[in-house]
Amino acid sequence: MSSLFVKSWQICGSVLLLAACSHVPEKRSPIEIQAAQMSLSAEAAFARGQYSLAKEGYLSAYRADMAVENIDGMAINLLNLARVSDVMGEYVNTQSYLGALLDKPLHVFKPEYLAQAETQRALLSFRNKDFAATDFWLDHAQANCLASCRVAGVILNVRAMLALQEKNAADALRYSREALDKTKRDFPEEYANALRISAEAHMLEHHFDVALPILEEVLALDKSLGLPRKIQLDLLRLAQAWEGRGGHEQAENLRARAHQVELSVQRQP
Amino acid sequence: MPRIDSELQFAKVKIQSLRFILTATLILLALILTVAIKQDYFSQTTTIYFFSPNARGLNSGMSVKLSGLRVGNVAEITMEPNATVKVRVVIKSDYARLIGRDAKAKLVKESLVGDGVVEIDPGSSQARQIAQNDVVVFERGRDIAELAEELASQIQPILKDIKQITSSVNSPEGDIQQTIRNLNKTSASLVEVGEQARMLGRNGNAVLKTLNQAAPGLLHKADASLENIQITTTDIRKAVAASAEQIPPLVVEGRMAVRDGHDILDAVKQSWPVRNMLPKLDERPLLPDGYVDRQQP
Repeated sequence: MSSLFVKSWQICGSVLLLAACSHVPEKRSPIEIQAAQMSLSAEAAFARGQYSLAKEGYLSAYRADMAVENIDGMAINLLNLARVSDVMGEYVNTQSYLGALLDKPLHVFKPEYLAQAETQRALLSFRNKDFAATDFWLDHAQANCLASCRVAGVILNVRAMLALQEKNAADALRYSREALDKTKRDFPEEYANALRISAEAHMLEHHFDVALPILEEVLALDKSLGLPRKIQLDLLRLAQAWEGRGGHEQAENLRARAHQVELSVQRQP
Repeated sequence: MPRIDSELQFAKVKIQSLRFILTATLILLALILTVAIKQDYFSQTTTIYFFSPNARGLNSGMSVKLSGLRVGNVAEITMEPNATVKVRVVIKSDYARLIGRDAKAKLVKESLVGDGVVEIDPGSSQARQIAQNDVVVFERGRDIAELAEELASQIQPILKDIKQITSSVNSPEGDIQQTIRNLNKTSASLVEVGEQARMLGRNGNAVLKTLNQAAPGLLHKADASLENIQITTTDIRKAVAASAEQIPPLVVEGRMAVRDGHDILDAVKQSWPVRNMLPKLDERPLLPDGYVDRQQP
């Protein structure tokens, strides 16, 4: 009787263990693991500002993923190559990497990667002042941006910038507020962008007193993230806000600070 | 009329609940049945025993293997009145047919870490097949500590030899130092001889006499020196030969131990829950920067 009792406990324990251990990790090929390692090294190089090195790393990772037809890996590395090329000012390359994902692709990529590629293309169009194309690509990105989409905040920020471009402060504020909600928890850089855009919307309405504390917050955030270009931009926006409020001395001081940051960035190896 | 409706609804809910409970019970039973089948609770087994001087390395539930396959497990370990340990082993009857009465149970370790297993040496094919409650001979395989001890005992004489040679080289009373001293003395004496030879020309017969006296002694010293060198060289050669035999296996075993370590580490990394604690090696896309400076030309 007692042995039956022990056995039933053994069975119950085994059932529980089976449930706990039922998840078997996905088996990946050595080439896929190597590609992931190269991609992560490239990510570290990108964070250090070593863009050429990052580009080489992502290119090697892309080739490795292509060799074993790792579709997700290919999409990720194409997106990263487009991003690095964008930072390096190589916009033709950016277009061609995005083209591999969006224009007659050989593979079926996941919507989340397509949404990101379309957002990057919208940003490129915006930079080229082709606002109709920006709108077109944003609509596509929005359609592919399903649950847990990482670029939802970016899409809203670009929409807010489009509204600002059309001098529509109300829409810009609305989009930037939505973007703040989407980015608050996980995407601090994009959260700072949303704050900056909302400050710009307030400045468009001549609400400089409202814009000033927002811009101070953005500056503190960009400083904590270590983004010199954004810090320079924040200082210039703060100068504009002070100027609008009649604080010419503060504005002058802020412009001088922005100039110092720019010089330091240029002197960096 | 509404009362009838509510009663109907209640009956429906009742039927649905019953159906849900029945399904859940069936699934649970199926799971229990699967586990029980996997655990061999329904297969026929043969019980055998062996005795060990102690229970070191033996655990209830540990695997029993035959030719590398798991054929049963240790069911019970009990202490006998004479302080020996009685081990009850349960083997699937299908495999018990392959085991003779002269079979041996051996406790072996399959890897550097973890429990050992009881390996059954099936014995000779001529022996009669093992039966229920038979007793087999037990022997204990060498564990890691014993292997390390054996390795250490093999290395110790080599180290001792090398130490002796080193101390012999350094010691002023050692063979090599003595040989060098003798050679120094010999060369000094030869200088002396040269001096005396030079005097020979001057002193003629008197010097010749001195040379005749000194030469045998010098030759004797040179002989002794050469003999010492020969002995030392032989000692060194012996030590090197002894080491040469034992060093390659040591290197191979060391390499195997390192590889085992890597394998174990890899396995641990992939096992639950450790795999959940390690950072994932996944490619991830960089987020685009959603801000464009519109005031830039």
